[in-house]
Amino acid sequence: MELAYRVGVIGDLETVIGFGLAGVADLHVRRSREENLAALRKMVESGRVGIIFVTAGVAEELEPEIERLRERPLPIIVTIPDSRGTAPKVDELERIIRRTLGAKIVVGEE
Amino acid sequence: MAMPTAASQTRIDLINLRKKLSLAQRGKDLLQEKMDALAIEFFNMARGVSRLRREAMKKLAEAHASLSACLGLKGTIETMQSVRETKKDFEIEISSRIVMGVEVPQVTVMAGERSVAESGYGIYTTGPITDRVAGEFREALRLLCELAGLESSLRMIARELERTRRRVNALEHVTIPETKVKIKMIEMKLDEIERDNFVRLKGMKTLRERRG
Repeated sequence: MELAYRVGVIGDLETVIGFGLAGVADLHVRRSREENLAALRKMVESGRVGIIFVTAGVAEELEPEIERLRERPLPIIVTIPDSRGTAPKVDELERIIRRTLGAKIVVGEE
Repeated sequence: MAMPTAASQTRIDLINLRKKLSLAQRGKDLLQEKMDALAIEFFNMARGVSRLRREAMKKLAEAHASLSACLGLKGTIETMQSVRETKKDFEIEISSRIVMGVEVPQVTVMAGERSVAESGYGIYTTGPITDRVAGEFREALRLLCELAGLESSLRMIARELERTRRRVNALEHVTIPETKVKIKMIEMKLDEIERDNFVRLKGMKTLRERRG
């Protein structure tokens, strides 16, 4: 699997504008939960989107669907803070470590 | 725990079970080694993710700060129009590589620096601030894509680690002790038969001596 993919963004207006100016093709400004879900599914089903960035608020709403999609190798879904800097409640890295080792371990830098 | 039936308590079963036990033990040792190697890989990767995430978040926050200035200066509607005009050229390449027998994605960002002339948006609704925002978001995006690949790899290594641990546990706590119990039972049974035989032979010997 060596292919060119696009990148998708689902989030608040500012986030979408910012990434739009950076040249991202698949954009969706968050609206109702159903519309966000539909937008996410459409990006996944297109098969052209390799990475989808989802802001924290939307990610929380669509949590079960995102968890399910993470079972697949592609697309990769990453949560990012929104324009107000609202970060995801649970740090993704911390969650992976906790689930794997059954303990909270702080990974420092070397 | 499953008991071997009376019919299966033969010498050949004992040999088979002993083979199974040594195989299980060897398998367990190998898996344990794999688990250790995976754990080392996992922690190295986790450190990388942590560093990259911090860096990407910093860049993203900076980009957002510039954006809010841009929206104030140029107007939201105008900037949205610029977004529509922007050339959507940001593409990535995803290939896979193998880390410790696990296939993980590798993300390569193909879009590099972009000059203002290439951006595609018109000059009436934009200004230097727009260019700055676009550049900063592009930089943040590049880091975020790298992060995405690494985070996904980490998740896959974690999954493999979990799977390996489950297999080690199954061998260590189920297969190996169960097999040991079975071997013990057959050995006892065979010893019992042996003793039976011995006593019978002794009895026959005494019988014959008395008659003879």
